[in-house]
Amino acid sequence: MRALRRVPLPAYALLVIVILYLPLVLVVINAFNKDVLLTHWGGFTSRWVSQAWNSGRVRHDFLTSGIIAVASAAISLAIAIPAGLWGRRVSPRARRVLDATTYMRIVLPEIVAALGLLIFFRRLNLPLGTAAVIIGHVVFNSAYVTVIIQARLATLTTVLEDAAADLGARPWRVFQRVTFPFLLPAVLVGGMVAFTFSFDDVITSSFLGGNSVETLPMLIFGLARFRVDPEVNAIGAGLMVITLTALALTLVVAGGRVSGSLLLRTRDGRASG
Amino acid sequence: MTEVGIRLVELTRVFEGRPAVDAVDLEVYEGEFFSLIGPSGCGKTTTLRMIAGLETVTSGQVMLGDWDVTFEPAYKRPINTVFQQYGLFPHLNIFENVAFGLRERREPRAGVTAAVERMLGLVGLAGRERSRPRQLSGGEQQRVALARALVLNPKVLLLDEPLGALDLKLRRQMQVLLKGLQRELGITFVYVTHDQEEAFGMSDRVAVMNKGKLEQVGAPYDVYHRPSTFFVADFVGASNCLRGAVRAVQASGQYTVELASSDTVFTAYGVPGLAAGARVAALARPEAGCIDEDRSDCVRTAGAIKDVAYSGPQISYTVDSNGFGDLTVLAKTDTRSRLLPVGRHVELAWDIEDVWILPLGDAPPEAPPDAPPDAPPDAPRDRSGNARGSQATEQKPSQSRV
Amino acid sequence: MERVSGSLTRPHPGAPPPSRTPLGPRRQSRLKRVGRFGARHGLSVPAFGWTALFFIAPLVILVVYSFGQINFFTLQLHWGWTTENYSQIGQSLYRDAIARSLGLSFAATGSCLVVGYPLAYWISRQPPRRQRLWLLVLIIPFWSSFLVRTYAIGSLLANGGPLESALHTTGLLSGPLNVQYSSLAVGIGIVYSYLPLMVLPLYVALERLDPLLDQSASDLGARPWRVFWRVRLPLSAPGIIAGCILVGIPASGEYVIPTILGGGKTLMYGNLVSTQFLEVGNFPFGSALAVTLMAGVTVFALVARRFSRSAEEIT
Repeated sequence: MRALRRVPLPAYALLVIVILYLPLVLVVINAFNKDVLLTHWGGFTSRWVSQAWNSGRVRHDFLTSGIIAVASAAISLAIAIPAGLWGRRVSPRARRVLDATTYMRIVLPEIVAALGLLIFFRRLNLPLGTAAVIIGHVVFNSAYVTVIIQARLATLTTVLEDAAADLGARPWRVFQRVTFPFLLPAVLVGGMVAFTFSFDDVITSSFLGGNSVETLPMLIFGLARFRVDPEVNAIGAGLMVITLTALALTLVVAGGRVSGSLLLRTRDGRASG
Repeated sequence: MTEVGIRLVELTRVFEGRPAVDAVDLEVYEGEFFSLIGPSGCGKTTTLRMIAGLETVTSGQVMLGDWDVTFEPAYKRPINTVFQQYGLFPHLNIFENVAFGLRERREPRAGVTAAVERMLGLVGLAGRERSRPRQLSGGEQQRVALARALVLNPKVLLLDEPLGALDLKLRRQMQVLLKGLQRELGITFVYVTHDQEEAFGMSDRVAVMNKGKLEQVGAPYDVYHRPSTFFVADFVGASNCLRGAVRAVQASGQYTVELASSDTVFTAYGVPGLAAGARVAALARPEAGCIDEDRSDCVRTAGAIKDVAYSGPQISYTVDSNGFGDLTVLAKTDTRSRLLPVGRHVELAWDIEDVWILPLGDAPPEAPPDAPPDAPPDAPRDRSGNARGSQATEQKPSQSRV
Repeated sequence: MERVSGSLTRPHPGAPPPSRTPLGPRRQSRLKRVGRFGARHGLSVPAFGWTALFFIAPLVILVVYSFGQINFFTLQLHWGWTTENYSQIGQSLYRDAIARSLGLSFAATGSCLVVGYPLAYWISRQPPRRQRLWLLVLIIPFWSSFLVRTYAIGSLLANGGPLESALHTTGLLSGPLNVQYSSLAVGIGIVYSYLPLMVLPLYVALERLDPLLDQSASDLGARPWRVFWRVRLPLSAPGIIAGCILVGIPASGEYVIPTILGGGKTLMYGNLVSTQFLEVGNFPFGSALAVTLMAGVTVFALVARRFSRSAEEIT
């Protein structure tokens, strides 16, 4: 025990962090690896990347993922913003109901929610497909976005809205001219978070997509089960680029403020899948 | 100047079972500078917000002249507010902040520019149109808030402790600015503050609130010298209260009072409506007390000096008097007056004119403490500028035995 | 600009004088009151509506299904209220699989805690500006695709992969690594994926602690390890509990990680459930499994929250 305590903490921390990055670096490296079996470094090639880039299937899946992600983000915002505004002005009990339903959607394992929805759709004879996938994504995305919006709204003192009303603005105008501009950073962050979660999702997309929908993660998931070849790595690297770009954009928007909501994204277990 | 601008009729706001504002009846005259004062939590801000339309009314009415606005939303009322936290929109520059209300009214652009520039000039911020609120100091932000409200030419301007966050010097400047603006524009101001001195300095009339209820309404002079309750007396200034009981009520309305724990009996004016035998306090303000002076027609007591506090323009003596506890007397300082030492035995005296009889405890006397609502609008004002219908019962000092 | 013309009063000849009696809340028609209620709470409709329809309802259906039975020949669903599905779970076949799976989740959560705590502690000790930086450094890998990271770990741990080569080179191992497609790989995958979810709440809890506490404990004679054990650890309990909830609950329902890293051999609860649904087609039984998971998770969360609340009160 005592020996353990002697291990310098900084060294440990750095080690952990390096280990965290290792797999990612590996993916990127292997995307350019000539050796198909990936047992060693076979030299640099861009073959896999261009293969993936030119693959019709990859492009199609990329597009599908993108459309679903954008739609899911938009709908989630449309749900979360009113919910957040409502939550400010009601009794603590009502607010707790909202918080409970939000928490439930975040914490419940995705598999349970996805399967439930699957049966739900089947029972009601509703078609599976893109719309179903979007609906499923919105269920959990709206929860995350709600938390983000609420965090921002918590810093909005009512005096600004009071002032706007006092000066003659009707409720809708108050929202349009004061509340929404204030919310804008959270809207953008929330939108990015929802987009990224959606883009990266496997389980809900698989279960609710029926036969017609294939998203990029579904493609990777299918391929990765059997063999991991450089092309999979190339596609994977591409997926990484997208999600990391979203992170970068979010950072730019949120300024230096790394809000706790940003750190929410790490709840990757979401896609837990 | 005696038309009624705002009338509150039994205005009540209950919050979680407790009344924050309790059946308040109030009239504010058009064009006057009216202040609402009281300790924190007394309901003054809630009352103000109900006038503005930012707070719902539990029962009662808010009237603007003959117009019942009780259920009108804030954006429909020709009333504007200057908030304690300023409430400037951070995403708009100063010009757009001030122009906000005008834009809501869809005023033509040329008119907007002219009005905004004029108003900024009036508050001394010409040239700052492009700045953002966060670039301005507290005092400047407050002036923008003021301009923003005034540019809409409201009939009533509400101010909710606007100077609370400013330092002393800035407050004084702003007070001068506010008073000047009010005079020039002729707009009715309703000013909320917990700072009695500030309110007295600027207002035509003040209303004192406590625990949701209105304690007294009147001109500052009357409220200070003729408070209707113990609470008001103590809130608006330091006070010495000598306890006693009413021996008899004179025909002139004066009370013959016998002080407890001493044989002192005197006759003085006080709050109307007290009956013989009522327990009362004789209010004697520290600044009116005389030390070791030989005067007639005084209420006297004596004691030893407990504490001396020299503040520059004044000396405050705390005297442990016989039977009355600690009494405070303020003495002027000039090169001729002497500083009395602690322990010295002195005689204190208050001129009968400066003594005011109050009921003991919080219960108000029979007569309602605020203006009777049926006061005719053209009530003549008397010599000291008090409108009739205020609590001030114009009393003349009289000869009295001590 | 025009002044608001006229006096305050609306022109109202012959208007009745304001009444003296107190007005109660205006008597409004029922319709108006419903309208007002709608106006005030209308904003919550999208959220509650969506949740009720697409979250609550499906879960309810799951519960209902779990009490039904399926006839495999006709693929018809019987709506009996039978608890047979639940008792089936108790059969040794499933019971062992479930126990193993939960055990793995538990172990993974614990490992995550052990790995993450020192990291969180270290970050909380950094100067404030640096803290944010390190948190960001921590986030970046986790903001890249979850899926990609998972199978990247897989290839890292594979026979013939870099880890094996490294161990061979340093002489720590000879022969195949044989970690891939095992419970260990799945466990490592879970720890790897959920680490920030553990570190963040821990960091938040630790950051709030007053460094003075350590110093007073030392002052009173406690050696560093004891200081940690008796002071810091108990006080960071809310963070520990929060982290364990955030990791433990989703980990128990994991599907992707065991599929990719477990290679079909390590079945966790999530796989069990989905197999019943998608492959076997036994919806009622699958639902029973899912509902059991839900119930377990809920109980765990409630219990943990209660602990957390009492722990928070102390801090």
